[in-house]
Amino acid sequence: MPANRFNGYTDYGVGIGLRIPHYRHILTKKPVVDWFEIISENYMIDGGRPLEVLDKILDQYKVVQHGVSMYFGSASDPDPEHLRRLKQLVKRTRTPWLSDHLCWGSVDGRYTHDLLPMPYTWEAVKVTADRIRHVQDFLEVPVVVENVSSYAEYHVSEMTEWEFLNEVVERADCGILLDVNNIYVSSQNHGFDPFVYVNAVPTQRIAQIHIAGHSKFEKYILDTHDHPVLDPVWELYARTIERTGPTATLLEWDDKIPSFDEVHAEALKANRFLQGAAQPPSEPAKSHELEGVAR
Amino acid sequence: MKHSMKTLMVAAAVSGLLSGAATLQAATPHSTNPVLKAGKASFGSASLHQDTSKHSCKGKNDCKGQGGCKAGDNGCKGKNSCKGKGGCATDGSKHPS
Amino acid sequence: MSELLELQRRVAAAIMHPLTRNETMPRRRRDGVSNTSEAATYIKPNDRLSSFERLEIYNRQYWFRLYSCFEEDFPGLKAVVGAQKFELLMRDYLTDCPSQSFTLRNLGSRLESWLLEHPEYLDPRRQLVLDMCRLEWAHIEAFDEAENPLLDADDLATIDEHSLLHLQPYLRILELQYPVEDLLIALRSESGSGDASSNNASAARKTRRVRRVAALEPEHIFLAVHRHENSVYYKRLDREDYLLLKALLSGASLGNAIETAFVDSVIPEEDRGRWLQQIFTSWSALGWFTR
Repeated sequence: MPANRFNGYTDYGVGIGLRIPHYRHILTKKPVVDWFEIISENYMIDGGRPLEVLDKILDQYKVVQHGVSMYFGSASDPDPEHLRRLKQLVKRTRTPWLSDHLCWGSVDGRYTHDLLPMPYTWEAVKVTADRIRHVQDFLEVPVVVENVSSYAEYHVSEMTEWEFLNEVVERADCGILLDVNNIYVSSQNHGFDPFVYVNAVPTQRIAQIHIAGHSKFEKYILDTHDHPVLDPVWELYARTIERTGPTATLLEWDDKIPSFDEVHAEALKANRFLQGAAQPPSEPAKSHELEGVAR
Repeated sequence: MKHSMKTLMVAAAVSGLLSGAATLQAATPHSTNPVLKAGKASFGSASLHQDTSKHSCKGKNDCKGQGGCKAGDNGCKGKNSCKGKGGCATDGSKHPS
Repeated sequence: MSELLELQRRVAAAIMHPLTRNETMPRRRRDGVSNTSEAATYIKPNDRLSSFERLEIYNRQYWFRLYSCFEEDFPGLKAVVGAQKFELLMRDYLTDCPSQSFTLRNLGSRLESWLLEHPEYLDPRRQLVLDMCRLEWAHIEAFDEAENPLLDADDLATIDEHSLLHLQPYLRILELQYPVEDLLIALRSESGSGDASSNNASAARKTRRVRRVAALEPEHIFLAVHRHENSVYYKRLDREDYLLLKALLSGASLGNAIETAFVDSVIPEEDRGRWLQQIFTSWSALGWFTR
């Protein structure tokens, strides 16, 4: 289900995150890339070089906005200035959909600048879904929410993470940016089967997929975006594509960033799975599908 | 300042404004026109080096802390990316509280 | 109060609390709250990490992220106060003035006013520290503030002594007691050169940096921090330039701004017309005047 209402009925292929070390290469060599994802906050400014570069990229490439500080799950109201600037950028990029995270990160007007895990409670479902609807109505562009990597869970949680995700997106009627690396990281940190998560997500709402590398420490895994994609993550990606069909896919590489060609080549490995899934997805599939939990 | 003098001064300024605007209109990007004395490039030479972007959604794992690892965690061992930046501060040398 | 809000306030209080000198989460906070018992009340432990350790990951990430952004924004300030003191300055400033913006770009927006209330971070070179802070914040603003449309022929044709000339939002003007822009450029050139992975090179750079700062003599200067072709530049100004621009920025008419510029000026009256023509030609060519 490549094109759906959550990704503006687009049929994007494999993209990479637009990062500064690659600016010169992209602007001078003009490599063929399906699309770029930008971090919205880096361009929510009034002028200067970032916007100049963005405009040049927009002239030649498809661009999708990805945010890191909307904090759909924060109990406090969104900052009107943030929304105003974001809408201004949406008009500039004409992004077919806009993503941000299913998390919180600010309270009482103070920002942690981190993607903090939600307590999976019914109150949080309502607050988060209301906020997503509000943002979507204001921005007038499809909003999709991304599952985050987490390192902690709360006692008060009343459901699993995937149940929470499903409840939120149903109530908000929004799409999902499924980050399969984040699912893997969280599964290792919290001890659940990542395939159960992948199998429980409503495929018709998946607008985009993220892949990335992570770092393994002795007692936990950290979502560092500084490595190639690891095999267990590719396996989750394969399973997701098996369920959804070809879906817009984006590689995130944010630290120890290698050459453009290396990052792009890593992203293009996704084609192995996308090409194999060019046929309509088959459901149900695989035995681990049966383990999926849905409310 | 006498009014006549002020008028002359304003005329001089306006003349400069017009002249500068004409120069600007004629200038091409990256022009070496001598009138465009911008001053010192803040990075020694104007370049992409001054580009910055602060936001990403990676977990923070730079040399200041290895993303939450502590002195005893194996995750920190064998890392050499901190060379020249003061190490991973496992010796208590930072942040007296 | 909603349970969600209460939980988020408690977690934020723990995460935004300063780390210990070992860059770990303190067992007990400054207000006496035990982080061990606090974490246990809302964070589940697992088979590898206690509640405290799981919360600590976020506490450390918070500070590392902010420190790295702040250091990137204020390398000159770090050089003039010294690395050790800078660590304390970052901790105390960010504790007192946590981010109130969706963007980390604004992290240092309250630094100058905060420093003025914390003389312990200004001494013994108070003016040098303040000057560097002002320059580095002006740089951040000049980098990405708006660039408004230039005056067109019709606008130019109607300018007289009563006109209000608007300047580009990215333009910042500073009166400084030290030539901090030269120091900052030198520091940046040094940090951008050489082999960053070599400890010897790093030590040599540090020594050069310390010597440069120690050798910096006071010099009363006026500076424009501005943008040209989307690069930030530092342009020295004469006293009269500064006064004129300052008057225009505060809303004075062109005629009044010119009068202000020449109060106590050493420029002979007969040279002032030519001088004005030159500076307005230069500023106009740089695109500083806008609609």
